[in-house]
Amino acid sequence: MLVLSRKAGESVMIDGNIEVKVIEVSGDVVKVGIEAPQHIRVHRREVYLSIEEENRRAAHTHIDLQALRRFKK
Amino acid sequence: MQIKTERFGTLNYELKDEIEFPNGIPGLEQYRRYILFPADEEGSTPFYFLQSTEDGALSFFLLDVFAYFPDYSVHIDDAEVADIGGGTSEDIRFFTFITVRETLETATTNLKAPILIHNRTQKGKQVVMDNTDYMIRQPLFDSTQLSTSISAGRG
Repeated sequence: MLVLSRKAGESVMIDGNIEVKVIEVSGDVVKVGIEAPQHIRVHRREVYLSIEEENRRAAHTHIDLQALRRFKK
Repeated sequence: MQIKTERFGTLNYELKDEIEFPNGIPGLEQYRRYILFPADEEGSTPFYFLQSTEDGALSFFLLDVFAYFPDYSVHIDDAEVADIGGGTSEDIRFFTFITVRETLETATTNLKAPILIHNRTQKGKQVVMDNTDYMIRQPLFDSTQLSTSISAGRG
């Protein structure tokens, strides 16, 4: 992993079209701004990981098809 | 085409009915091709199944999210829709994954990351809506519904 030290207001460029800027450092919270082309998806890592986990769980969900009939639109 | 599935036995389907997830589904990226069908023959419930045509053991249980949560709103930018063929929201069907833990009554659905399926291109994707308060585990049925009747099945 590449590790760079940055101050508030400084940024790093990734691949010429993604800018990650340190907006503010306050205690143990770093506010980061990201500018990237529209097709680059940016997510908080823990949100993305919990979506992956929930998807895997959903893929192995057990459904009682009989019980379903009770739920009409 | 034919696939032997764990849940539904042998299914026959047409190639043209396959839905392609070009980037797979997060956590299960290796599977790209699925078929979608209503959970009951009459299509009278808001539930659907998404069955992988690459792995008979892989299927998802889906909710027609707007049929069930009429106030649900989707916040996604055009680039997400462009990924699967563009157009307007009229071209897209919106679903959410349902996870059943113990019983159907305690099932939850992932409102944070809806599944988009494009009607014309038959392409699909899951979109993560970071900037909403929707829950990954939204209970499908509230406790008042459970204590009275769940036959209406509306959230």
